[in-house]
Amino acid sequence: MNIIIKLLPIILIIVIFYLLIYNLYPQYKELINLTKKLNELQNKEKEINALEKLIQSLSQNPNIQQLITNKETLNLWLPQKPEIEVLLAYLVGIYQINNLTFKGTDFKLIEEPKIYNSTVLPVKIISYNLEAKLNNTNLISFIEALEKNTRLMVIKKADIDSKGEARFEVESYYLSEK
Amino acid sequence: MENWRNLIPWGLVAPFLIIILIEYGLSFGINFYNQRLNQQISELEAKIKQKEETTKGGLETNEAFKVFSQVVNIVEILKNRKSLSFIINKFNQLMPKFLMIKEFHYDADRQEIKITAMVSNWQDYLRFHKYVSSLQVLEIKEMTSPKLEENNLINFSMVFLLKPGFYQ
Repeated sequence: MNIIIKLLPIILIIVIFYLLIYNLYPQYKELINLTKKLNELQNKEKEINALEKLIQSLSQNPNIQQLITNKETLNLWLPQKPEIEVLLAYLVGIYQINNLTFKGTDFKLIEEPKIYNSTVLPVKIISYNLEAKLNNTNLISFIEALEKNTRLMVIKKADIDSKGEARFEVESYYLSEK
Repeated sequence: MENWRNLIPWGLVAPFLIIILIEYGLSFGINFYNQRLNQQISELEAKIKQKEETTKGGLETNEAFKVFSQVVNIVEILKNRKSLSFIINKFNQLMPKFLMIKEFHYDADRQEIKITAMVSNWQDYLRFHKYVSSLQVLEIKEMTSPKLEENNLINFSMVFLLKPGFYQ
């Protein structure tokens, strides 16, 4: 009995540390994690609320209403669907006005959306290669025709040699639904 | 029994017991708070999921948001686009007349131009190298060693990084 009583403070210290390490500390860690998760969710809720407000204000904005009435123009620049046939028609036209023969191209629809601005719907990329035999007079005119085309075209890569063989990697875009 | 009670050094043991009690109290409090947090999280998750579904559905069908997205994306694409015709013209203006460019490669993502070129003699090569090294709007990223070919022309290739000043 005497030994137990003498060891009592040590036993109590062990109990204190046991409770601290195996009971209090894990609960404290869980508390921190839960608080973090709750904060993240609250932030997400705020973002959704802001988006809802944006949609509401857009629906009432007279400038946006005017754009909606003229959306055909916007659809020429950046359509809501891939509209490959329209793109093809533009390319045929560009080749024709530069006295070149369009031999066709493969249009690659890239699934991964490209985000230019996170608050709006992203765009999807249509990538294609163009080849042409160009000379000093029609090189710039061909490139300008691509760059000034109504349907947005961005030249990502260009390979031009002194014999006039030119190859361009071009991107056009359409609005992603998601 | 009385003897046993008298044997315990209460003065020493009491603080330990108080600490253990406090620990239990804290543990109980944290556990209760965690349960509340868990409940709040579940409720909020359900609420967000519901809002996301309605907003997502709204976004996909909302014409105003689509039109607004089109406008913002058009502006961003045009803002980020570097005109190749401008780049070619500017590059031509910068390059000396004695340089004969065999191949020209442009990469918009890397903002770089690679050329395979020739000059007629070593003096021209040294002049060219000194000149392009001093340019503020281009930076030499890579270059191959110049070689005198059978046609008596010095062939080499260089990769230039386009600095922001190049577009001004």
